[in-house]
Amino acid sequence: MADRVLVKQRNWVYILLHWIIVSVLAILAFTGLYIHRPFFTMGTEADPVMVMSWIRWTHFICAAILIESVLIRLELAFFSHFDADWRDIGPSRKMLKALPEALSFYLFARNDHRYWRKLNPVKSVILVPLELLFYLIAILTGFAMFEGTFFWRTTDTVVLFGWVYDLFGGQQSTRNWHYYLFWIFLMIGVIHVYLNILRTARQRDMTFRSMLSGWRLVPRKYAPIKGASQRKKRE
Amino acid sequence: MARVVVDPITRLEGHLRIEVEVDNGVVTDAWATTTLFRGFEIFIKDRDPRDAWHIAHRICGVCPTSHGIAATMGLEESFGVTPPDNAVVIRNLMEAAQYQHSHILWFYALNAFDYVDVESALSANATTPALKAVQERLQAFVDSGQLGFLANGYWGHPGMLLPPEVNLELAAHYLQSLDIQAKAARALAVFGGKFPYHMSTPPGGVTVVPTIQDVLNYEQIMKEVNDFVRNVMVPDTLAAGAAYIDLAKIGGGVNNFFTWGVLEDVASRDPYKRALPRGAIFDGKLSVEKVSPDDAVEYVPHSWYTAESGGGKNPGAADATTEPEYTELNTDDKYTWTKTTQIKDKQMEVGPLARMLVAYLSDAPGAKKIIDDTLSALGVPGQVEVLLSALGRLAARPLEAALVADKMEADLALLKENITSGKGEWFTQNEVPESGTGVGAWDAPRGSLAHFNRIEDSKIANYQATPASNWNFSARDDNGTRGPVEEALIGTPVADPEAPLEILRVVHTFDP
Amino acid sequence: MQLDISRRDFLKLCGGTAAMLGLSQAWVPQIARALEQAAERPPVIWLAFQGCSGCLESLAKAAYPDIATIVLDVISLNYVDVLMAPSGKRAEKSLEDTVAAGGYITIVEGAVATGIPEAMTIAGKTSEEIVKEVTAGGAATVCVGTCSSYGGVQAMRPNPTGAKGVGEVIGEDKVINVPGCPANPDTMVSTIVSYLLFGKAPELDSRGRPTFAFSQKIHDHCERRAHFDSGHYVEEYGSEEETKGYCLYKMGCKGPETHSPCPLTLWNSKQNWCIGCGNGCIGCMEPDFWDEFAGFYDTLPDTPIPGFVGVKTSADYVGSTLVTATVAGIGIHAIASAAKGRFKEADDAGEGSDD
Repeated sequence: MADRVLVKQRNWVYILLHWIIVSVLAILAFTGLYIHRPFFTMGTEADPVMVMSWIRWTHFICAAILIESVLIRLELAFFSHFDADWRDIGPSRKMLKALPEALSFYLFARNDHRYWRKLNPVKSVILVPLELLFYLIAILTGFAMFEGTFFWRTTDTVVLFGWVYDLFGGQQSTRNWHYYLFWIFLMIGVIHVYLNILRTARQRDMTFRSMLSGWRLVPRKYAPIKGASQRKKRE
Repeated sequence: MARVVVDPITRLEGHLRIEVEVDNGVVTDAWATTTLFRGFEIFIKDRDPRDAWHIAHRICGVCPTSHGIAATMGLEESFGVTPPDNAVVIRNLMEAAQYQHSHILWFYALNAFDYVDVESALSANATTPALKAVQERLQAFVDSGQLGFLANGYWGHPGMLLPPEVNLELAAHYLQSLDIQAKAARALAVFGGKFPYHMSTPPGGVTVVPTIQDVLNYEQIMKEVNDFVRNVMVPDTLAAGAAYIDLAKIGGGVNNFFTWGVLEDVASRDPYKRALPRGAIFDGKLSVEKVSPDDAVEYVPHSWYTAESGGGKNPGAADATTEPEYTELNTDDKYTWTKTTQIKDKQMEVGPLARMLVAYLSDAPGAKKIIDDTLSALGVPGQVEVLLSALGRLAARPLEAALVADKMEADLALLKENITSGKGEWFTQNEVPESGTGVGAWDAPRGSLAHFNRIEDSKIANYQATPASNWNFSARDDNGTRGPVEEALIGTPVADPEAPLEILRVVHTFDP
Repeated sequence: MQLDISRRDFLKLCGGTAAMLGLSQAWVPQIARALEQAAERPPVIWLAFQGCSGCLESLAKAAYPDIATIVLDVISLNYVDVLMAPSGKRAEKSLEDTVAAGGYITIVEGAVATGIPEAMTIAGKTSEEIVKEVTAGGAATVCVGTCSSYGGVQAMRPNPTGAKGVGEVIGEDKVINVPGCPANPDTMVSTIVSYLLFGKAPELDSRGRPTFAFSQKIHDHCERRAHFDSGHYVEEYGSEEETKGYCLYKMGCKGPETHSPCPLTLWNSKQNWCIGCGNGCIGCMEPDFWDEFAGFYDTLPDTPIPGFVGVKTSADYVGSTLVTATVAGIGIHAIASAAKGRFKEADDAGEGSDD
């Protein structure tokens, strides 16, 4: 094992956002599942608990939080003073070049791979863009189905989001896609966790711990020179 | 020799064209063309069998309830599920309400203008304030100069025989009937949700769980409707029938009749014990034979379908199809969208006359008395043969409506008893089977209809329907034997080929 | 215009229409004046194509005003095949005269057959010829029912006759759609009155439907909504839950997706409606609902994917299969990785570079 040092790769904002998105997705999945097929009820007819109302309310609130969080995360990716990691997201030339190697590693065609600083090319080229696309679909289809007041006016979904219905082949289909996204996020979540387990087990670089601490073991030659950012600022 | 084409025939559901050959003022040959094809048999394929009844329901908007119930009955046979008694009663009540609605609508809105001269009603001596008000309303309408749907009617035609006072009275009843038919539909909606296209009868029973108040609500609305049938429509029929007694000489038709039967006997569920029982009459012989949906066969010698769509197949056969193949309208070759549908290679007439004759001959409750009474009132006591004519068809509807009213009251009593005694079974739980076949054979007000379904892989593998028009507007067969409407037109006098009122009368008796 | 209905009934009509159009009752006198002061009853042509006459039947069940009032006192229904006195050439003459005079409203019921044009002919002309000819000179075109609005039942996959809605044939911007199977009488009447009152089409949504009637969903005003909110659902037809009027969501009700004023207008003189009789909504006021909402008894959105997999394959099935496959794939991958020793510490750090 090469000489490694502890490096702060994420600051608290990133960590907080990550966990907000995780918990909000979990709540969205649960409430969405309930809206899809209500599987329990509470209270009596005489003294009802508005289960569905509360569940839907929660779903909408979480949806709003999710949208905010994703927007903030994107903002950080481009404008963060700590680490604007937009290069790590999406099919940059560097990542595309590294993709065959990464894929052949995961398909057992080769047994080693180069060091990846944060995201590996599979995540960066395939998973993250797909994830962003699915966020977009979820948000669009969600808004299309949502009827209530936002932007200070009562929405007339057919007027505002008729094009979404057309895009997804009608209302029922729009709703279906929104529901499929629950399964898709579940799939992505499972893959995401598995890849992290694999990495942590293989590299023993505190990846799991970094989900809370932000610190990770990095080979010395890839570690930023201490005080680099300060020095940059001074210049 | 001259060809006369009447296109469109108005005051009917759907689209119809009639072409006749007139020789010396009498029709010598006729061709009935239905000018509408939608392809239900094609697009219903591969769908969820539970959805099929909603789709097949949409075949007809004037007799939707019958199609919905027939489709459901067929699916229940495939599913192997028996609806509970209460569900059967509710279906009977909805069907009965639709019969009253349909017969009233037909007798006045669709049929009356063939016999009632609205212009002549304006010159009548109005004897009551109510009639005076109607006369003034009509006068104001005519004075406005906008005759709307009455413009270009056959007013003053030599075939109009009623005196002005009767015309006025029937015109008043016309307006009243518009209100009454809506009431009958409203009663249906108590159990069905809405009309047209009730929603409450998926395979297994009924979704509605009525309270006693609902039943009383239905009863109260239908009481007014039934009173109208008994006290207005039946007397109107007798009045018009006496004036137009010559209709007994025309419109005879093929003299083969059958009905699948309608309004279930709740206890036995035997189609031969329905309020209007199942049965067939061949060659005008006054005796009833048994008949089964398996006897129905289809041919397409003169219809715009591929050869495989006919060929003497039973619509329930696995390879029965309905594939359109339009060529051109040629009365010597293919000329209609209706198939040639037959039983025992005979063209069959369906409808109220068929039902009433079968009921009369199988001695169904009430049928004998009401027909005998009517024949006496028309001055031809005991001569049932007189009914094998346009007059018979005209009279059969109101008389049938009176019978339906009786059956409705019996069903209501049963339902009330079941509800008050707590017999609360409305729906038999069921699942879509892997495979199965079934047929729902039932009668719409205008005639017999059967829905054949075949389920494979839990999907609709084949669905064929033979609605009433398939029988009455059946095209010629291979031997050139005319269909019922075509045959009925033979011998009809045509006084004025530009105003072929007599043709309309005969065609309208079939409630197309 | 001479009105022969009683004043009270007439004002009832105006009041009902005002409510439907979302106007305050202060508009009633204005509506009354608009209808009364017209020099003549507006001429109307009712064309029926690939359909079932159900929409006219539905109009004939209107309560305020009833059908007699409509045809005798409010409009001049010059051509309507189900009710008009003349047939054949004389009927066609009524049509030609009205078209020649112009200024009429065309109401269309039923779809236009374009694939097999001869599947729908009147007087030897195909539906496409007739609709183009008649609507060209008219003041407005109102499509009543889902068939004329969007193609309806015959436009279901595979659409054997090439049935299309009128808007698809003559231009979506030229029509006002009042869908429904059948169209609701109150909505039909209100749309026509709105046109007469303002002299132009009411505000339409992107599906061509008047927003005064179609901007809200069945679900928003459903009488069973409280049970939806409190999580009380019917699980079986004919059950005790049904007698309590619980929500039909789990029975496949499409109310949450269907834009319609049904819960407010109801049907047949406000007697009842679909959900009132215990069967969920099937979404008959939405475009292509026959295909799109198929699986009328499947819970939203657990309905089949059109044209992709079999009838019984639902979103649940597809989704859980995908996730199971993913988990299985990962399991296999994990076993293979373990076999290759990849869960043991390795040094991938030194090889290659990250720049």
